[in-house]
Amino acid sequence: MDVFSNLMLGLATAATLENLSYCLIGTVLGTAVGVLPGLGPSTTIALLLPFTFALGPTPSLIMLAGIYYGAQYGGSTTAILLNLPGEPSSAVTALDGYQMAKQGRAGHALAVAALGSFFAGTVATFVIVLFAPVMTSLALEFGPAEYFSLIVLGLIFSVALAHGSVVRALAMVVLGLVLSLVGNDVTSGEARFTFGRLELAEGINFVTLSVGFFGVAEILRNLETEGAEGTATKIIGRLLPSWPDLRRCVGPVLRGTALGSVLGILPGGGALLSSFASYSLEKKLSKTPGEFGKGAIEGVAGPEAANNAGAQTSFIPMLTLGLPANAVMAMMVGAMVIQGIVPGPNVATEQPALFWGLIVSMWIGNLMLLVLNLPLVGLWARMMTIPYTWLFPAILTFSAIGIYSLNGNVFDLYALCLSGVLGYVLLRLGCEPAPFLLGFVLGPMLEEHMRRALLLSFGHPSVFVTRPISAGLLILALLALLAVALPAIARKRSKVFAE
Amino acid sequence: MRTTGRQLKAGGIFVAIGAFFLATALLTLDIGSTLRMGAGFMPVLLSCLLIALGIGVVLERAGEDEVEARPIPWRGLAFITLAPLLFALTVKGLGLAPALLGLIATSSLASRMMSLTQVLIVTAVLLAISLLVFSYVLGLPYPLFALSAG
Repeated sequence: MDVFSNLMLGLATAATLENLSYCLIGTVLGTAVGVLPGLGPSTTIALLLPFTFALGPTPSLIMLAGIYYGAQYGGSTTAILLNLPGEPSSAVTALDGYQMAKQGRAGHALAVAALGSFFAGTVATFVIVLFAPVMTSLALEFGPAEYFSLIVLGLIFSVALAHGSVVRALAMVVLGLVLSLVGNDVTSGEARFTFGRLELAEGINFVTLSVGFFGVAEILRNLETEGAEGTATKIIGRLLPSWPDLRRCVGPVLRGTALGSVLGILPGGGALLSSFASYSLEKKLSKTPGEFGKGAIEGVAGPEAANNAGAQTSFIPMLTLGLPANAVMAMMVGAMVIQGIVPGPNVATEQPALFWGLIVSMWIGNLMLLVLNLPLVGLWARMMTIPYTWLFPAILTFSAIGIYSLNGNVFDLYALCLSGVLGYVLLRLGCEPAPFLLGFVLGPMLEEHMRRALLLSFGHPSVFVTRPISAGLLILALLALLAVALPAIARKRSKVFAE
Repeated sequence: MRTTGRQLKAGGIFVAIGAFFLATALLTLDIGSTLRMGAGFMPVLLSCLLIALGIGVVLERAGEDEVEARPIPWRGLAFITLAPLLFALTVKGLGLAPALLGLIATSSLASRMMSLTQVLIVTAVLLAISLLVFSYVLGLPYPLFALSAG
């Protein structure tokens, strides 16, 4: 396949008026939710899932993707001006960005963050262009045994690289897998765990679960800390950084981009891990590590480049293998399934316009974000002052109507309340919803590949360890699990996330 | 080794859900063999795994993050779950507009920070926006007002 002709196809798809407008809507919405306190990309994408039914697959995926990487830009704005990361991957940016803001250099921090993100986004798009076809052709060689092991590896990696207790995250994955079993069995047609409810015949609705866990449960968590909002720095200052400042940022941005591009591909990696890793790397490399935490511009440039690169390249496993690396990607997989597309290596060959259009739209979207963010930063800064108390009734209204419009069925609303409360209870007990959603999305695939692999091997479970690629993947998964279980590494890991 | 209450509760939830699915699967589903996996094969496998992990959660060494215990926002919990239920009960019988009114007003009451005036303003503004967006822009096919019972 020729990269150039693929890119031309992508450009032709992404540059239609319809797709351009959905790209713009996505990036604007993404920036907005990145800026708004208590509303992140996963919540927003969950809320919008029901409304993507009416759109075609390409515009809806372009819009949802725009929300994800747009939020990386918006999140840094609140991190810098308010010391409140709009979403987790900007937490590191707040460390030095807010200090810069207090010194009256907020403009510089914002500009460096936006420029670094744009550069990283551009590079990461090309990484996708180069890597995606390789991964796709690799994946097409995989048999069911390899696919089964790959899914296991993906799930375990996403747990190992996430923060918090590994056992809890694993339990959440398996809880997701178990709940994905509800509904009629595809092979035998037998009804499983439906208890005679017709509404459950096609399984628990993915959208309802997403909105419950990421919409309703999040509202409840945010109500815990109500009234504790920070105060925004009003003075943004000059935007354009000086030459020496910019030169100091070149290294961190380049390293952050490389780091983010690699870590983004790993399951469970994505934006969050990339920004943390880049910050500790820059601190280690710096000649003046003491400046970090007191307004070092490198501490803004590196992580901002890294989280944007990571956000982009985390699309690679989703697009080529159908394996989501984080909750947002799980929702993208869900959105594809809603549109009747089977996620996996076939997307690139059967839906080339969608595949390449989405990739090219990401670069266009990054360009839009640069234009949106730098001149309009004052406008975004004003949005930050919208109190959460005004927002959550709107979030809940959107959730309820969206869920109701799925089937015009009130059963889904009861399910929404139930999953919201369950999600909140689990959150309070230190169980994050992301691994749960990954398990839920991958459950049917896991069962299907397992059944097929066992059928092909005449019922011998050894097939998973005797086929070399499958065995290798499982060993990798085991190693990852052992690594996080070992106390020495576990301590280092919690230190990385504590910083 | 100490086990915190949170660990016990979290582990308990996993074990309970696992046990429920395991029992249901064993009672209602055909397990089959590895050659021909029945509908109950994965459920039994996964629910056993879930029970094991639930026990693991309880036995795990307590992490350092086991500190904060922010008060449960009971008021929020009550109104946030009540609002969609109210919407579910009224949307068919009364129509979209009254159901939305109930939904928005109930959910605004969830916050401790809002005065009555603010609740009224938020409700009015949000109701207008939602009706505009959902009924006119997105064109959802639900009548604004209905008078049928049920």
